[in-house]
Amino acid sequence: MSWTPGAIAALREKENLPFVRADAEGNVVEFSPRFSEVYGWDDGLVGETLGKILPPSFRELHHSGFSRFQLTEVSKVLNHPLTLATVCSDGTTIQSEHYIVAEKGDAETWSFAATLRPLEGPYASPPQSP
Amino acid sequence: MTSSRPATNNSGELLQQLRQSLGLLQVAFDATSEAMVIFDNELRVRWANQVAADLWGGGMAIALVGKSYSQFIKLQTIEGTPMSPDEPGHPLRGMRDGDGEGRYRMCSPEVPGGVVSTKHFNWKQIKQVAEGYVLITVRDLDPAEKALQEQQAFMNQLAHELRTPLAIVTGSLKRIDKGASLNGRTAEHLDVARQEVKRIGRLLNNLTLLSDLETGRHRFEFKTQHLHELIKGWMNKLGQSSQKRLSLNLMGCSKEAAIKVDPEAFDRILDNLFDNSLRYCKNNTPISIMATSQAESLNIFFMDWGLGIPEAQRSKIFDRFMRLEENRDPNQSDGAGLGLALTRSLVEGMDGLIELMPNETFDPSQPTTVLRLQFPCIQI
Repeated sequence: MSWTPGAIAALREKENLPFVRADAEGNVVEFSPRFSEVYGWDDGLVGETLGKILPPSFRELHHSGFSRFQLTEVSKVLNHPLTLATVCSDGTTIQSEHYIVAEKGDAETWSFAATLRPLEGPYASPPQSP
Repeated sequence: MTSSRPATNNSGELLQQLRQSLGLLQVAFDATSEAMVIFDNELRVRWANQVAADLWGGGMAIALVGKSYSQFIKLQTIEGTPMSPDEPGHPLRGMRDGDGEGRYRMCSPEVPGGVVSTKHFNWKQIKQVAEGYVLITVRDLDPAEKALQEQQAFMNQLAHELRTPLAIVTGSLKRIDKGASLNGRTAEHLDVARQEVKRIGRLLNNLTLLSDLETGRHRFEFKTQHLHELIKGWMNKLGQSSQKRLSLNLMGCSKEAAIKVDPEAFDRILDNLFDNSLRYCKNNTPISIMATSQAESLNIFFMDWGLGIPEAQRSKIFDRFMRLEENRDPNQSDGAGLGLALTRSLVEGMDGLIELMPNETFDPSQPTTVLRLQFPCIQI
């Protein structure tokens, strides 16, 4: 199993990294002020698909991987750092280290959350050591 | 009575169903034993399955997205020569021109110089997508392909082992010929020995080439050239007596019509067909080449007015070691029966086809042999 209870709460507290959370459908339900500060998104992102913060070329694999997880509950992208380009609200991209976790709630529904460590630009910080 | 649901509910259900289908498709693609990667029109990864991710992306398919082919796929020829993505025979070069396949030694991206194993690569343009994507699949060799590789290695080793004694025998025969004045009968025997040694040498070369072609090891040096130039160039290399024997008709072929072939291999194809015609035709019968061009393809008809090919043997003429003993001109040197097998492999290796046409194709009054070569036509 690729999740642990409390993973999302633990991630939310992690340093002051941008944080974003999505529901079982992959739609954004909340993000931290730091996420907004670094990537420029406002509340309009809530309810949108997570695919919106990924470059178009990544969206097929994001959606197919997400759909696959809903069937199998297994994913190789969870619980370790993963470098991906992240799209800002103005359309520019920032290479960022994503750390994604998944958690099953009381109603047996999944939640997903990620911290994003920008690796370039004014908010850049060094990648997490493995 | 009909009932209706709100559109939003229907959309939600549809979305859910689509997600399920998409997930199922991804599960299926991940369960295959082949690595599958889709490249976009800039040859950057757009999609990959789990086998590809395990092979090149540290287990994560999304880590491959956006990478260019050369960032993670390093190839060598079967012989172990490193290949650059621009050279003929490399999948990256091949996929610019169309679909194809080949066997390569694949290097480990993590270990410099380290070879994982020999793999079978297949590339196919996805024409249904307007952007021009290419699907590459990579798999291990199946048992039959592995056996073929081993046979090839054996063939190369055998050819190498036989060439050395053959060179010694050839040298010895030359020295005997130079060193002594031989009487008629001995000189005749010596001449027979020399011819046979030459024949074995040719046989070895042809067998090696045929084996290389059949296992995908032969590397063509493709060039795009006008057909007129190619055929006339080949004819100019022939001796005068051979040129006199040939008639050439290129009137049905546009001067602008070009084909993409390896010129050396193309010459060899015509050499083989010409040798074959000489072997089975009497001295005074004509041998003719006619070419025609259409929008999509070029046809080259190679015709002779020999004794033709018996009906029972027509389906076997491209088989290895196939010889029509009863029709052979005894004045011509003997072939090993590999010429047409080799010719077919060369033609097919250059995306062409060769077929034996019905005898009455051009001249119903006489038994003729008409072979048709067809290649894709290229406008330059």
